[in-house]
Amino acid sequence: MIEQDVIKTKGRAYGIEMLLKKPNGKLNGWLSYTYSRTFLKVDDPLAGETINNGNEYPANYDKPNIVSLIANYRFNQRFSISLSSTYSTGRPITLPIGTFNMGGAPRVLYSERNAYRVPDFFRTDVSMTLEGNHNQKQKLHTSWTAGVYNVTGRDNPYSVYFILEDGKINGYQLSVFATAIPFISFNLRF
Amino acid sequence: MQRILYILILIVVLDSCKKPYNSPVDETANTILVVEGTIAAGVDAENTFLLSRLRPLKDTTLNNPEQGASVIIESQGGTNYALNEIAPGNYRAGLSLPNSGKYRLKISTRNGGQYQSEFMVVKQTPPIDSLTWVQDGDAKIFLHTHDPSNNTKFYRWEFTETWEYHAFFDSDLGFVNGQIVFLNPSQLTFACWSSASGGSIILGNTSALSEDRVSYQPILTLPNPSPKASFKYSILVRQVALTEEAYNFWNILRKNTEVTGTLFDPQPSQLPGNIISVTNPDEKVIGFVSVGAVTEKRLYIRNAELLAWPQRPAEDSICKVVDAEPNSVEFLKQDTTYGPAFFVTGGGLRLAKKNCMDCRRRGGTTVKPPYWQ
Repeated sequence: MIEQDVIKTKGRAYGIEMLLKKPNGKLNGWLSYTYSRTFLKVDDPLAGETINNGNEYPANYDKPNIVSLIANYRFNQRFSISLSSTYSTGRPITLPIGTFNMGGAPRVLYSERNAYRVPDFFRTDVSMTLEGNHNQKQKLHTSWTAGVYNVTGRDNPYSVYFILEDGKINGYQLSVFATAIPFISFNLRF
Repeated sequence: MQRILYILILIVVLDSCKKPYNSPVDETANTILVVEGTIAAGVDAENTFLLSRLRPLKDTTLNNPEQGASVIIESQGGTNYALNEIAPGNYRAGLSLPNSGKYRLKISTRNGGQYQSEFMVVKQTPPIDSLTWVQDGDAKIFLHTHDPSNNTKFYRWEFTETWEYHAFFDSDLGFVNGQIVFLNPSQLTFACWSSASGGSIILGNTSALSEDRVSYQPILTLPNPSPKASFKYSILVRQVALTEEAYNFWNILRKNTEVTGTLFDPQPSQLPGNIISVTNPDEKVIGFVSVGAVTEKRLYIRNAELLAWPQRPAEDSICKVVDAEPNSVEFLKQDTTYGPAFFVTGGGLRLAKKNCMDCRRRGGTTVKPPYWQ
């Protein structure tokens, strides 16, 4: 029965969102800020086990602060630059704290559920676009875009994991774009 | 050219993917006390408690024992039974605690910390009905038990394996100070005994069954061709009845450490122990002290009872005799990996590798355990 396999969890979420937008003009774009919290609570003693002694803990996707900025500046009909930047609090993680022996084997002690956070996420992409001619009769409109992904080269961890190596528990973090990556693209519109 | 550039970029990206993670956990601040043991009631029962401290993740030492502590079992009537430290962090006493009492553990550590468990009644443990085994290539060992009063419900088992094994050659000769000598019976190194304790947590729960009976509970699988069964193998299984809280503790410990590691495993849970710090109620202590009795049973398996189970480990294939006559003594002085094996009638002395004659070189001792049949 599914009622016996699923433990009842109480959730509580709140937050506020703000958005500033400038849709027109040479300089356009928006700035948004979100403050949001999500907590979970498993305190039903009949379920056999509680989490964090029945106290609230942050959900896996609890990221309190998220800021994003999109800005475009159009120099003329054919040339524009744009910037896109995102910051968010690192997501919660349960970390191993230490090892001990019990039941004839080494064991790992973990922190309270989601008591720590992975490092904050921050990434900025910049690009510039050069349009081809704007002749109305032309069937194919072309443009060139060049820019840099993650221009600050911040090493944003995508995940954090621990493995046992030579009797030691070592932590590693995986990043997808750990350096600034330049790009060029050729666009066709028809 | 462009393709090479793409590959170079890809290498830069992939190379920087995985980096050591600096954990924000302050590991030096976590010197949590770890307590393991059961208050065992009954006549002349062995009471052993292991005390240690939490180790940092990068620490490669095998144990961090808590030495010099005072460990006392207290009955609710106020009687104190002290345990003695027989090895670093290992506190024991043979006690005869009456089954009718309520008991708790009290610990005072060297640094002034005071810890105690709560008073608990003795939970009776039914005897182990039998241990059986079947061979399906490997040998699988099962346990059977039941409680006619339907009170036990939660079980935990521990085991210790002991096995007798033999060297390839049965030699009664030794090489002492450049001389071939006959060994007296206590010096013989043909038969040895080794022991090992299991490191997995084995739990049983009959609370969903109408009858408190455990049948065919797997304890251990002995892989063929384990040298443990090369002559005679034995396993001692200890059974402890648990309260539901103690069962939860061991079950979470088992889940946290034995079934994590893949994407779909549950997240690690907090260990719900029953030991508190009297001096600092916020201090965490790891451990669950149960009060009960331990019952045990031993099973023997002889190599002859097993099907297609080698009597010799693979490394014995190097074992052959060497004839170095008449320069045997010189040979033994020069190559100390050899020793005298035996005399052949009319042919003088034969030599062999010490590894083929001294069973202690595979980790055992020549002292026969007192219970060995």
